Amino acid sequence: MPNWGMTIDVDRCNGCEACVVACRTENNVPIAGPEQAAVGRAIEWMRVERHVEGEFPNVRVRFVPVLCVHCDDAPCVKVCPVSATYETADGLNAQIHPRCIGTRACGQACPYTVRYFNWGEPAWEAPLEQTINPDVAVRWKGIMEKCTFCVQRIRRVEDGARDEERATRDGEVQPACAQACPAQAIVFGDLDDPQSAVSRLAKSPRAERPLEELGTGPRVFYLKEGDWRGSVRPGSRD
Amino acid sequence: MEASDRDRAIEDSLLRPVFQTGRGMWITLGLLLAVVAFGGYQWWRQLQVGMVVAGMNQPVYWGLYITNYVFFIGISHAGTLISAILRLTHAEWRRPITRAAEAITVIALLMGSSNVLWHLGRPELIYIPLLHPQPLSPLIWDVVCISVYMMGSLTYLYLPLIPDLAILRDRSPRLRWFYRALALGWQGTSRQHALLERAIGVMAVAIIPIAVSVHTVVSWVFAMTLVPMWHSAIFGPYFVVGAIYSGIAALFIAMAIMRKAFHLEAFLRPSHFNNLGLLMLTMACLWFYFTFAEHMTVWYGNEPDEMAVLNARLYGPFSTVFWSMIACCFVIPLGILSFKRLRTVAGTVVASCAVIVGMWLERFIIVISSASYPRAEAVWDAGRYVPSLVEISLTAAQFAAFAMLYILFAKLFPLVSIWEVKEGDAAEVAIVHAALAASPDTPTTRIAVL
Amino acid sequence: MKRREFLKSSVVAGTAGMLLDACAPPGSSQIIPILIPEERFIPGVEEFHATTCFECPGGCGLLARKIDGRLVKVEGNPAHPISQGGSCARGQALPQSMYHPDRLTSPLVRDGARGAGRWTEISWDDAIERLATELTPLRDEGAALAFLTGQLRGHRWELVRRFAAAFGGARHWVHEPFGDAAVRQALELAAGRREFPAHDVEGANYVVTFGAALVEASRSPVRFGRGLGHLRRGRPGQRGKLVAVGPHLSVTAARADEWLPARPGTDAALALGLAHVLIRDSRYDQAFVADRSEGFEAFRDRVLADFAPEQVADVTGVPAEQIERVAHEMADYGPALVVAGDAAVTGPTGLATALAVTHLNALLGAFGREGGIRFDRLPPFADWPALAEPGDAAVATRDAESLVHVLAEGDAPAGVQALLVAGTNPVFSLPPSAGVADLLADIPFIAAFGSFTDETSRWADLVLPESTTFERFDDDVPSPGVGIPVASLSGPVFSRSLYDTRSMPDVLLQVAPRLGDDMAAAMPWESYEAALQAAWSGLHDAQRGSIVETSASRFWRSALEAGGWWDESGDDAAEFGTADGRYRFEVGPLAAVTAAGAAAATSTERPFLLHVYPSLAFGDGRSAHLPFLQELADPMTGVRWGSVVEVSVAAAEERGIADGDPVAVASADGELMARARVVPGLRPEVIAVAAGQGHTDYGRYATNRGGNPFALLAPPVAADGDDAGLVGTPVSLRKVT
Ligand SMILES: Nc1nc2c(c(=O)[nH]1)N[C@H]1C(S)=C(S)[C@@H](COP(=O)(O)OP(=O)(O)OC[C@H]3O[C@@H](n4cnc5c(=O)[nH]c(N)nc54)[C@H](O)[C@@H]3O)O[C@H]1N2
Ligand SMILES: Nc1nc2c(c(=O)[nH]1)N[C@H]1C(S)=C(S)[C@@H](COP(=O)(O)OP(=O)(O)OC[C@H]3O[C@@H](n4cnc5c(=O)[nH]c(N)nc54)[C@H](O)[C@@H]3O)O[C@H]1N2
Ligand code: SF4
Ligand code: SF4
Ligand code: SF4
Ligand code: SF4
Ligand code: SF4
Ligand SMILES: [Mo]
Repeated sequence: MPNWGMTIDVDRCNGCEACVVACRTENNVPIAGPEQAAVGRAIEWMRVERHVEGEFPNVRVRFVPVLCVHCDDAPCVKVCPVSATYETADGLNAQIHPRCIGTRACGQACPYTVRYFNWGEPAWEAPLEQTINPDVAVRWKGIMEKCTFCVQRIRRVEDGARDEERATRDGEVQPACAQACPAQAIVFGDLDDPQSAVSRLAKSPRAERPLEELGTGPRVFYLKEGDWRGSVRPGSRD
Repeated sequence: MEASDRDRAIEDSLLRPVFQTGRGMWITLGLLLAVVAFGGYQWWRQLQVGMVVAGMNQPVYWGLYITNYVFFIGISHAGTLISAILRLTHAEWRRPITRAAEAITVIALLMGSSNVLWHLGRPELIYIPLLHPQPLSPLIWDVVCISVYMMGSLTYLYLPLIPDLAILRDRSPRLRWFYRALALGWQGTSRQHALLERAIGVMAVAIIPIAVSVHTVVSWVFAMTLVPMWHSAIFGPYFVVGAIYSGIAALFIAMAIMRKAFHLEAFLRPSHFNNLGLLMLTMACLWFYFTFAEHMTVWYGNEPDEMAVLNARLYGPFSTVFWSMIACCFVIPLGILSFKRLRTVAGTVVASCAVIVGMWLERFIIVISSASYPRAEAVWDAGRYVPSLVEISLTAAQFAAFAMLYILFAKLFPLVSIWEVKEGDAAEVAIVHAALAASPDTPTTRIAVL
Repeated sequence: MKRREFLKSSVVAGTAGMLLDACAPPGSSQIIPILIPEERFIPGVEEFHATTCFECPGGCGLLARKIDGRLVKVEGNPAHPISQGGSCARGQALPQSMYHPDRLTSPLVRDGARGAGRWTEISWDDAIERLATELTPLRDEGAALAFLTGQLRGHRWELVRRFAAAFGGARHWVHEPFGDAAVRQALELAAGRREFPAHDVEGANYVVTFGAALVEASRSPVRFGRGLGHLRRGRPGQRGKLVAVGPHLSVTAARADEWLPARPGTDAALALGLAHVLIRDSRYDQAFVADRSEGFEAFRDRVLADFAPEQVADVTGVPAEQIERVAHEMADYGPALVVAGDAAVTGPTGLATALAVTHLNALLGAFGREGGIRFDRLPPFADWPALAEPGDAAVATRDAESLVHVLAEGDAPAGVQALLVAGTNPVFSLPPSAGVADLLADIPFIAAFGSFTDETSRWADLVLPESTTFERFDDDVPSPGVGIPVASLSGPVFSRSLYDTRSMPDVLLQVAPRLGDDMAAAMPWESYEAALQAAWSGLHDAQRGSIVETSASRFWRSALEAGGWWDESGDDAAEFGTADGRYRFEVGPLAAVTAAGAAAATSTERPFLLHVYPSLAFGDGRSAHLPFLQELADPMTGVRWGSVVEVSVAAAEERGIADGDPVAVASADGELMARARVVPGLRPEVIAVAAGQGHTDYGRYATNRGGNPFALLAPPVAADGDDAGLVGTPVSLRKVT
């Protein structure tokens, strides 16, 4: 059984937000509209955070793509009174949308604030609804949602692999965000497979997990930004 | 005066409010109903279009509804807990106030838990947690504790009501069938009395841990998360203390109103206000102690995520609310209740009003300020929480509904326990007689008043 | 040379297979030949169709995912050399352009006064008839027809110019708000090549960008985005450096390792300052200068005389030590590469900046080397048959005229009786003072193509609804490319268009026969597909590259399936197109650049300089109609569904402006109101506003949203080059209370 995880190389990331829109189109994430977005009700399973340091003219900016980190010991899962959010055997923090009663306890409990609530009824003005991806259910008002690690793609690949009586191959599953990213900053795969790209990157000295000290056990690793050092250091691991 | 005459007099005066309703009462009820109806209309709007009409957002997923939930469940501690303690300690002056307190409990619990209805994104699925509970969720613990507390409080309200129901069955000009059914054939035999006293005694003991558990568990809904300034070990006792504190305040206000409205000056004497005022003073100090400890540890620890919330409270966007809370929950009550001269009916009522307001603000600050400053700093500015018309109307509606239900209760049942007062009176008469026997000059004016 | 290596770094082969697997798991889906009818498909089974994105000049190859006859997603085409599986935010939002609720569904004829926005639907037959009746008399009377277009892509450009040539006496005006005419001009002067060259970011180790917003705008965001990721982390143990020059911290500058906030309009001086250090310290590529260039001495003398770092520091505001250090780093940590673009190459100093940067590249020996600059060879398209009887052969060869130039000269409408508008929206992207509206008012007949009405087509008499990328045939030669010949191709993903729309080239082909036998002969194809097929037969005839087939029609089919044709195997193309094949250190346009002269002039009344930059989500505004992009928070300002005015920390403090305060920015020509965003990454004397918002007629999601900074720009002056200046308009800033 794979242990799905992701690495995001913050040093590769350009902040182009292709991942944000890719996730939106793949996962039928509705638009909130100007009024609702202005009061903090936009839904984006993937968002790009901007971390600014320094003063003019020595300003440094880091862009950090932020999504559900699929905690190993997920605070959201613990508080949900109805198991609408739960952990799968292969490490996904999954949602059963029809079961969610909308307590928003999970949203409050998630230390990463990556859970998004449908404050109103999502709307696609006709004929925009034609772009809805039939692989992903549309959520309705009163329901919590968040990044699923593109579970529909995982299951599709697993299904294909099962037909061929083999295991899934490294790199075969591409979440929409990773697929879109021109900078190839996002790598997805099986953390338990020592040969996989993601597990090797996760062992990089640059790798760190967000809010690791909370003990949530994130399955998303960030590769820290590096500095230009001038000289070339062949063979260095980072 | 013969004992039976005195009993009759007590009965008459305490049943008067049940049997007679003035025009003012109807007007009050009408106004309250209007507020409730407006809240209902706003809720209907929210059901139609969703939570967009409320003020919540990301990261403030919880707003006024949860504030009110915690607040009213706190208020509910007025009653049962206090009356249980007073009963167990055989405080004689409890007799006229226990029922009023127990009624507050039941109604406040009803108000508090009803917030779940408008808080939930999908209230139509409110039964799901009952069918498929996830036992690790503190929300489920809440459901369990509050249900038990509700049951317990109802029983605890009902048991001491039985003898009075029998009186109503016999004397009420209307609804006799209702009182007959509820009176369970009470005849006032000594066997029945013994049984009732025992049952009440058992309930008084049992209700205390239940009440403590309720507010502890309510606090755990917050404390079990990793949210800055929620994740605190003292939240349980802190919430319980706050609950009792606000409960006493509510009781004070109820007592003062009843005293005035039902002319109960003889039953609720200034000394009771003084005594209870001392209890509230103790709670004020306890509350401050917890509040101080809670904020001091955060400040000293200086953990950045926690400090963000603390700073917002001390100097930031929540500072007005925070310092108003300190004023209302501590400075004002302390200033009034420390002085015996001010522990009058008026003084304690003023202090109580401040405490009620302050405790509501405390719940607001705990819920909203932590929610506004989660660890994910990037979402801080996504949206500021401003309660919307819907939330404010529903809050007003709850306060109105609370008052309305309280009045209705008083219209159906005597708010002062007739039989217990009689019992107390009998005891007092016995004492007086004993005293008279010892010293024939002792005046009996107080008894004559009855 | 090593064309393959150019691509190798991006792991085309390996990744491509991998990505394709991912989006097309075995058995469930495949890339489908486009001509198979919908009824053959199994419900619920996905298909992928190769297509091309035309939202920006990138020309990325995409795969359109279709399920149950609906277009639900696009992905980067992993096999395509430009996108290599990646895409950008605008590309990702593309399906919304097809299903946009405000799309035009049939031809419209004006009903009421011009500009009133009242229309009546008519049939295509009537629309073509109307076009023919309007255009025919022009030919007889010798009156002029004008085309007003953007930088049309692929063979659309040739087709329009062929039409104009055959028509006779037609003019062709071009307008792109973020044009790079200056870059092309500079390259023509120095290298004798007109096309935007390939920049080998992957192969470089040190990249300096003058204004080019490589990540979020530029000419090829996906291609550069991939390149920058690779520059930093693509090679174990070796991390390249990116330096960004410009007054405003763009997304690209934000991700740069060093930011040089030069004053607006002083980029040329800074580039020459860097050149000064390289020449003074003999750190330039002397072999290149000696063997492959001419005119170096004049350039050297000028640079050494006038652009010492101290002098340059004064005018640019960048400290001399920093200039020295960056120049030395370029020499020491090469291969180094310099790029210029966007706002820096517009306006009066645009050409000088572009030329100075070109010379800097020459000094660094970047031309033709790995990690440098390469001129793409063009794919070997077959020429269309020569015009039998050229109406006005000059039109076909003559350069298109820049609309800005035409407006500045003021002789614009002379004799122009009809105007066909396609792919540009100058009423929106030029200030009212530029006089576009007057120009349009003077032309008796205007027809505009487009999938939506916009500010320009609002003034038309006839609006002709265009099919989207997913419903038409189109091709493109991505520029900049990756150093190999690349042609992108896209055919319809659907057997029928969603609405009664046609593509602009098809309409031209349909109206041509109505304008006379000579026009019929000049435009002999029954469809644009046929015209493209004719041109693409040249690629088949070449029998090389990514597709080699036994027949032209098979080649066509395969090219449609693959989304284009490219050839990684070719040898080096000729580098310089100058007469003697040598690089020319042309100094003429640099005369205006002085290290002493101040930047743009401000006054006490208008003490700030406006900086207009392309937005990540909307480009110049053409993607503003898509709700997904409106909802996207700008990575630098966080704004959604609107505009902000970026104010430096220093200016905000001085003016008592807090983040979020409503402010008004006014130039001599207009005013814009929005909320202030106080940012650390901005020169104190500069006010920055992203382009793209402030539409008055562009569908429900974009109309009346935010402010349009183009409206504040000073009217173009003839001497200022071909693009409106986007930097340096003096403006005032006022808190609105
Ligand atoms: N609109 C339009 N429609 C057309 C055409 C057109 O030009 N335009 N062309 C028509 C013509 S000429 C044709 S021939 C048809 C083609 O139509 P189809 O015969 O449906 O051809 P393919 O789509 O190539 O599907 C062939 C299937 O065989 C599988 N396959 C490949 N190799 C093997 C093998 O060794 N063994 C087995 N068992 N399976 C294998 C492939 O995976 C694929 O699933 O389309 C017709 N339809
Ligand atoms: N990449 C790729 N290559 C393939 C295939 C594939 O699926 N993908 N399929 C293969 C198969 S199965 C086949 S059958 C071949 C088909 O390959 P081709 O035989 O090349 O078939 P088409 O591509 O349909 O092109 C046929 C040409 O005939 C023209 N035409 C149409 N009607 C008439 C007519 O009435 N008279 C005349 N004279 N011309 C007409 C059309 O305009 C078109 O130019 O392709 C093979 N090659
Ligand atoms: S990141 Fe948040 S939503 Fe995701 S699993 Fe962890 S706690 Fe749950
Ligand atoms: S909002 Fe839904 S998923 Fe979250 S805790 Fe409540 S029921 Fe569970
Ligand atoms: S993994 Fe899938 S669901 Fe999660 S952010 Fe990426 S695209 Fe969205
Ligand atoms: S697509 Fe890639 S480069 Fe762009 S913001 Fe997302 S992670 Fe960063
Ligand atoms: S870079 Fe340009 S061509 Fe490529 S996907 Fe983005 S908008 Fe389209
Ligand atoms: Mo065939």
